[in-house]
Amino acid sequence: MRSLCFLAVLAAALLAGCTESVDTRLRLDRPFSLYGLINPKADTHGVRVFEIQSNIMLIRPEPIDAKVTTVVVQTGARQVWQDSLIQLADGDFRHVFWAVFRARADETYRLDVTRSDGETAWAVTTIPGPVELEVLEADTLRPGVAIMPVFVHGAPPSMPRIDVEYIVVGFAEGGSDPIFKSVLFNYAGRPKQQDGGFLIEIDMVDDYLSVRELFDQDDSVTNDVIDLVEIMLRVHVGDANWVSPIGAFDADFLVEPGSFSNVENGFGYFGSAYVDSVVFRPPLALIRRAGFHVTGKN
Amino acid sequence: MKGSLDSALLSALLAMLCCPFRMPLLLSYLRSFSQAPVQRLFWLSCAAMVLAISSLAGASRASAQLASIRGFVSDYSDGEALTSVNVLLESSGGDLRGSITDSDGIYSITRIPPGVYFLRASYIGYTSHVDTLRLAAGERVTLNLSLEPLETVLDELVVEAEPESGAARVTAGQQVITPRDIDLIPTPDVSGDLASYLTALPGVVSLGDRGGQLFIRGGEPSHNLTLIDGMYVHQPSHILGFYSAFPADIIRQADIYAAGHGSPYSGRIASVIDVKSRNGNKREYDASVSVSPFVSAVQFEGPLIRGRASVIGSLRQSMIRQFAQQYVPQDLPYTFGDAFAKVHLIISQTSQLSVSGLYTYDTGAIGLPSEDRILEEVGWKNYALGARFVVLPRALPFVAEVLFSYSRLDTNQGPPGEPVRWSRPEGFSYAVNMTSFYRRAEWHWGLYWRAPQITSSLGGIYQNLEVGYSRRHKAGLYIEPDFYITPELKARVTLIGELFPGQDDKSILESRLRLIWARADHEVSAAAGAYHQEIFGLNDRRDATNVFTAWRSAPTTSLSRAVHVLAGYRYSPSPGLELAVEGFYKSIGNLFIGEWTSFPRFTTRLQRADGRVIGMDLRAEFRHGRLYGYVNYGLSSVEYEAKQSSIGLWFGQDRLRFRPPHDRRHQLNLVGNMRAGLYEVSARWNFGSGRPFNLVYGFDGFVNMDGYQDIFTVPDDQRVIYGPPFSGILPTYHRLDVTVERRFIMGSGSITAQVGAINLYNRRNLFALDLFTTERSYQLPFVPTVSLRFETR
Repeated sequence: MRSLCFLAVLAAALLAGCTESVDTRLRLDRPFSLYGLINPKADTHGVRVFEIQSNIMLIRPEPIDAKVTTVVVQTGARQVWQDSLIQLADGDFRHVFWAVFRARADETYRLDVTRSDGETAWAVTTIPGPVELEVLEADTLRPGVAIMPVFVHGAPPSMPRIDVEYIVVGFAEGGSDPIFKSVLFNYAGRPKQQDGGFLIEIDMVDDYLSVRELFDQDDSVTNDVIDLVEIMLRVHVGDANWVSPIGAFDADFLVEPGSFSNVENGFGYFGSAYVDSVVFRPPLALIRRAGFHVTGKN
Repeated sequence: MKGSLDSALLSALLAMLCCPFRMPLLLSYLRSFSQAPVQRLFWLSCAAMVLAISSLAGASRASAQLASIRGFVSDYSDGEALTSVNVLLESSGGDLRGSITDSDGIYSITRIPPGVYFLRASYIGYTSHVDTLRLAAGERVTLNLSLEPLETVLDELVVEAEPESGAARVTAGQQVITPRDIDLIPTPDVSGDLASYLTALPGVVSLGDRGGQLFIRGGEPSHNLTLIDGMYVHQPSHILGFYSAFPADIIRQADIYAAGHGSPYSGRIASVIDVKSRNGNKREYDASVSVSPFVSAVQFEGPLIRGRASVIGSLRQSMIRQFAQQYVPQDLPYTFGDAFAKVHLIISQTSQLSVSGLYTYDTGAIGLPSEDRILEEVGWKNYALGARFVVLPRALPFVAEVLFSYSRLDTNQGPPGEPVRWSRPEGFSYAVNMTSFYRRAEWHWGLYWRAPQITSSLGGIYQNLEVGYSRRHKAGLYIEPDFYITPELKARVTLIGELFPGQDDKSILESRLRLIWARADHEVSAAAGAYHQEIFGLNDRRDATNVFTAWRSAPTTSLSRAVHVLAGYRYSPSPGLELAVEGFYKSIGNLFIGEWTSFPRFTTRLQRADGRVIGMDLRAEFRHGRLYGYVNYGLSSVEYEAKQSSIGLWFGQDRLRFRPPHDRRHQLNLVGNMRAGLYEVSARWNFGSGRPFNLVYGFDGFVNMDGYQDIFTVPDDQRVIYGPPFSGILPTYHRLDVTVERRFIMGSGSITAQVGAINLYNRRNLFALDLFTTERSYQLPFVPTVSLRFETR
């Protein structure tokens, strides 16, 4: 009996050992990944469509099996988007579907991307309302601080990115040629909600230290004189879903499939967003207090 | 009084041994303290060492009225050191004292009362040396012995003798391998290679017949400490799995510690491969040339100064493109080779010096060519140069070994001829190892200083260039007495202190223990110990085709650590049969692995992981006349646990518990060798259960939507939509290799001819599965081989 058992186990092991087949793929019914947006300030809108492939993504110029439509949920107006082939800087091809129309605030759009077998990935977005940026008067008397306030009037559903861009000028080491530099700071997550909108406080002291550090690292530029030319504030206003699950839009996290997605039966994000911006030069007293040099006026 | 000193020292050291068993607890305990108590602990251990060394010096004075004898034992025919020679001293009253030579052929018998003694040095296959000695009080005699080989070695002698090595001869994780053991494994080449033997050991997992990576008892390849003549060899395997940097021709002995290694071995957490090379023939010149479809080799040795200085050298070059590729129906784009040379000099009756050098190189593409993807090559080069000085000081009762070496590894990956990623671990190593004999203990102690540095440039197609440089210094002290508690029971207690100047972890104190109890045909052994590692090799294990290893330094605050515990039993029911079983457990902390990411690019971002390995080896070895065989079975389970908040976004939990890709649960090896007349037949069947691999849902693109984007121009990334990590299992692996060999004596030389077959029944063993293209590459199919070797001896 023992011998029989042993032989049976041996036979089972041998049979198992003879198997050569291996399946590397798990079943996934989602047909597409979509990345795109509707911009209420523009007439042309696009969505980049990736077929979820069984091989590594190597997109060729041939048309893909996808039909893209949008429907305005409130009115039922339907629009068919056109396929276009773009070539990125690295030479790779991508399929971007586009449509021309003007979207209005609070309209809700449903985007459907459908394969010929009927499999559909879709997403819904509601167009955010307009905002107005107002540069407020800064308190130039508070010692040790240099805060430049800007108020965002309106009710933006989300502000996924707020760029504060400093245009500064320095001088070449050992010379007098001016060298302009642009230094970008992300203020996303920092606006304070107040009645009628959000207050963005630009901390010019902190930012100056970072600018100075950049100049320190650049041997070709002297850091003795750094003048502030102007500040450009760009507020990205997004729809209500445009919120990172981890607080920041860190690609190393958000690359995980589905981690930041509003696409049903697919991956990616299709939303609506626009950018509003304002350019200003803070008061000289504030510029000086932040640490910047004010050329010719010191 | 001396007995109490013994006991006190033993007790103190045993008390330190709580560490391995309670290491995690101890570590957390130590972490909870500030740095100062840790430093105090370290200085306490230093003080203990000084105390021990002082006691030895005192012992030296105390034993001034007793004589001692020591020396080197060598083979008369070629001057090669003889290991495991039994040297016995018998007094006129019948009292016996003895010693067994170590790997340098050194024996030492101490505490001998003055008188007349009969000395006998015996070794299997050699004529015994007998002598009568008159030892005066306090006399310290150095007597070097040369044993003459017997004209013919009878098979019966081999059977009846206690073998010094063998497939089942494992003691507390340690196994000694000799060239004769290696020759029993069938390979495509007449000359064997250590790699072939290692892959026939239970608990040693290789990715297959290419790739050149060995995972020993759950450890990653970079967790193995590989040495030749005390020199570090960072990546010893060649790209074709049959070959390593160590051809059998140059090996005198290799000690493999699958776990539980002792104090001279520092800085790796898994295992040790310690190769000792031959010194070369000091009497006459010998040379051999061999050629096979995979490798051609030249080996030479001979006296530089007859009887005093010798040189040995070996050169190997792959012949795959020239021969094997002509008839193997598979792309084999591999080139490799190695060169080894050693000069050995007997400086005086009491001192010897050797200088060794090693160079290896490998280049090859592991994946499959594709029209859409550039086939990347991996390559690596080892450089090692070292000197070793062994002395028996006349004035001191020590055996001293001084080692100095420099090692470097260049490893790279990229399009052929244009590597885009590379890393270079290199560094000097200095060590002084002392052995002294006091009462019933053999004391090993020493100190070392190492300064590994790593330079790297790890970028690539998908990732920005990242240039790295790190340099670490470490100085260590250890003391490791072998206590012969009873005639049957031996304990080796180890205490190591290491300093890391200028780093956050400023010191480490580790302890280890080995216990061996042997009586008649039974041996029970056990070992436990704590280990750490400062540098490690990073592999992208998501893709099995990627064998590129990027070397990095562990963050200074958290070195990789491991605790080993193992126990085994060995039994010889009859002279020709040996059985062994050994169980092991390893706990690994701060194991750094590549961060899990859906970007299909090589990542150098580190992810901390913990792991555990549990397993068991069963071995049976059989010798009878001209028949030899062994079977071994390895059962093991490796599990890693890593925490990474980003993966929770896709997998639903941020703690990944997974089987790494080298977790081969079952492994079986059958090896047989038979001599029939002038022929020698060898066969090996190897079976391994399937290894884990990643299953994939598919591939798409990824745009980081961190605000408004111009969809018509924004760059994107390719993305892999992974299933749960390593949730797939590859098919089982098995293969039968057979060789038939015959030697023809021709005057003063000989020709050995070998015919054989790799993968005799042509099993389609999967080597690699390219997850990105689903293409598969298979291990070697049925490959007939013919190999010839010409020898002058």
